[in-house]
Amino acid sequence: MNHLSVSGASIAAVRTRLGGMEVDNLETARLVAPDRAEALVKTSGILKRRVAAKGETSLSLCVAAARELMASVAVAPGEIGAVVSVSFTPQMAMPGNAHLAQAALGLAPDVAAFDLAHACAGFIHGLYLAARFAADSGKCVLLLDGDAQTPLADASTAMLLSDAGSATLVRPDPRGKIDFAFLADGSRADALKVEGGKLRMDGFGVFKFVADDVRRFLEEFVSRTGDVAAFVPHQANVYMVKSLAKSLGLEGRVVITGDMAGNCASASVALGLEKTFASNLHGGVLLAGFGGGLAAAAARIEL
Amino acid sequence: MKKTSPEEFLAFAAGVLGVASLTMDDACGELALWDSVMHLKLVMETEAAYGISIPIERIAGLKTARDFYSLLP
Repeated sequence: MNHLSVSGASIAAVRTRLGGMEVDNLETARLVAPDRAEALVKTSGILKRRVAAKGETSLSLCVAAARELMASVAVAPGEIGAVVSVSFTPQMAMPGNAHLAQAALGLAPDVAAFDLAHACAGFIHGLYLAARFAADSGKCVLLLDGDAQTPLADASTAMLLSDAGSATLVRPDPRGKIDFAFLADGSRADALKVEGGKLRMDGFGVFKFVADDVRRFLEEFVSRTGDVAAFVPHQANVYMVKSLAKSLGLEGRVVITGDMAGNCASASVALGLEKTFASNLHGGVLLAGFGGGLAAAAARIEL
Repeated sequence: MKKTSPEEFLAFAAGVLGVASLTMDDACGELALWDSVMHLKLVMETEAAYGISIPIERIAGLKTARDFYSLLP
């Protein structure tokens, strides 16, 4: 395991913005598979999903979250040294969301803009880059993570996907330390991929990856990094996430958002982290992303 | 407690999967109706009906109706 630690940075605050339309997932299920709609809802554990309203994009959702974040923590644009954007559904292929957000937010032109095309494990990949930059530069970093992925849904994913954007402020902090680990297996890319304009999933393949590879990966990461007061996983499927937490001995500490917000790609980790911040919890927080790649990533922060 | 008979479990599993009948050798992915969604439904319904908890690491290895039956108390 490539266990890495970044000292000198911490997360100051998180805000998310869900797609503007709330969808009853049973209604979607009845359209996709009327003969087993209730089974689809039960096995996903997703009761409601959020879909981008007209005009909303991955960029606009992230920018809205960032504006709220910057107002709430009173950070001035000049204190931002970099923008890191994570999205596999950017507003346009080039330039990426990071550059467009820099302009939309009125940030100084001397910021660094990084764009990562990453799916479910993307938040933690972006957090690593943001933490490293904050520690090295002594400036705050705006981590934007968001996707408008519902237009990509096919019959196998329509019941799961939601749209959301997020903004996370990573600040230089002499007492801060964040642990990381990463896993990638491109040989199993076919299990979850966007092809021909559709997001296709091999449910068995993804479940096996989570049940075997991700479980072992997280077990080792937790054994190396210490106590976990809250477990914030990507919300791929509520039953699967709860089952994973139980296997890790974290059953009572898992943060669930997927039931009412669906699978927001990697922004689901930001959504769970926002909920954790709001709970005023103190202690170690395990962040975990897993999915497209296939890939997994873990981070441990201290609140 | 008396263990559920194979016939009783097969009838239960067939009902969950929505098929007329099932044998112990029938497996997920081989029956048209037994896909990943119905597989997870069978896991959840088995847990609820028989009061057991199936660890995630076991779920990925469950293939046949016999595999499920072997988990029953």
